[in-house]
Amino acid sequence: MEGFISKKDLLEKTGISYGQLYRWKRKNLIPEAWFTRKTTYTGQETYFPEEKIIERIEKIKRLKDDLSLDDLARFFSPSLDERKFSKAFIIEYNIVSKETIDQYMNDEEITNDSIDQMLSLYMIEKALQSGEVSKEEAILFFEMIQMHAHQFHQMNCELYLIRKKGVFTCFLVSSDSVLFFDRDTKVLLCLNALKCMEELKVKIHEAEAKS
Amino acid sequence: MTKEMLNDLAISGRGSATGGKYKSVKVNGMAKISGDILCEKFRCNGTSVVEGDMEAEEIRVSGKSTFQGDIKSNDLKVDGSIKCMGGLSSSSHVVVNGYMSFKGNITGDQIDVKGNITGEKDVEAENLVVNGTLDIGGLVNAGNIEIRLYGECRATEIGGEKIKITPKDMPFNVNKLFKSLFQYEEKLIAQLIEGDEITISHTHAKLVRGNQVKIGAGCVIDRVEYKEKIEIDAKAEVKEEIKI
Repeated sequence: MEGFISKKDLLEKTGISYGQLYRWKRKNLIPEAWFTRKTTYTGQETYFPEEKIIERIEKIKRLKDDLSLDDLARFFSPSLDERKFSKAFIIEYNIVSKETIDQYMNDEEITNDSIDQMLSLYMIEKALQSGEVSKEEAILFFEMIQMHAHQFHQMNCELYLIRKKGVFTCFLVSSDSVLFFDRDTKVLLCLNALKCMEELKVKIHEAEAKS
Repeated sequence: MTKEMLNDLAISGRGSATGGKYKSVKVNGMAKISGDILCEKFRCNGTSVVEGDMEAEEIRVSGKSTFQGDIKSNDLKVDGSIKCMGGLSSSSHVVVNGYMSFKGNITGDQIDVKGNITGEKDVEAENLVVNGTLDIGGLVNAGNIEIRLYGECRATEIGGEKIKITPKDMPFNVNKLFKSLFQYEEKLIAQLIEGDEITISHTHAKLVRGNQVKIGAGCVIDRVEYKEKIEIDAKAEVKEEIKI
């Protein structure tokens, strides 16, 4: 099966044990949906989407010494915890740059910021850093993320930023869909909301550890 | 937050009630409760049927309880039997002396069963100790699994860190007498067993994989894959062993 790795090969490649794999599954660090059963000549074998599982395991291995498994589970879960972050905190630890915050948020909103809004700020920061999007265009998709942020909880979204003949637009799509564009359309950037969320959570955790 | 004033529900004798939020729910006798229940303590001495979901800090059943929905509890103890059409999620203890049967997943931290555990789907726990029989349609996944066989057991897959499957401890002649009185054989049938440390006996499995594997008497295994160490009892039957 192309793009898939058997459990046996996975353990060999990543150097983890059966016990670890089962423990992580129990703690919901590895989504149930990634376990694909296939019948082979020795009976049944479990396969995983190779790229995703290896990336996930490397991440768990890297973080597991400083974090409890329950904390890690929170990292990988699509749901967001409602926490408050101060503007100073966000800027000081460089989670989102000061310019972005000044540009896209006014004062009262920031002092009571939840991670939900942080995600939209973080995604906008990434888009701006890529250099593909202008500040004005970023406002457009910033509004859109804000409007649909609650849907990130339910599904794994991808944010597409495209341009056709100089006209910019953006849309959200569930990440398992495949998209085709005409030849004039240029995909500027594609951001996966869950991945951004994971990165953001790691950043926040590192910042909290330092403070 | 203001604390809600909650009432107690008590049924003695025979009666029925509707679900809802209560402080404690106590059944002495026979009761039928329709609707979901949310309470701190649920206690049943006798027989009860709950037609809905059940959420309680503490559940105590002495007798027989049937639940039509899911059960969520921190502390579940059953002396007798519990039957549930949904799943169980417990953040801490599950102690069953008697019989438990669930259609959905069984999730707990410490699960201790003396008697029988039946589940159509998966079982997940940090510690699972079964003295008796087990019949699980899906995966048994626990950090530490200890099964003492008192009859025929089934599980599709077993996975964890430490897996120990042993026959019940009983003096030899008592055991022999038991067997002559009741026609049964103590064994466990599984497709796949995977773990770091595996010690099994009286187990029939297609595939066993682990770091340290000890195959005891009465085992019939198609294929064993091990990493570090293997021990196979003379009374075990292993068709194929492979070091990886």
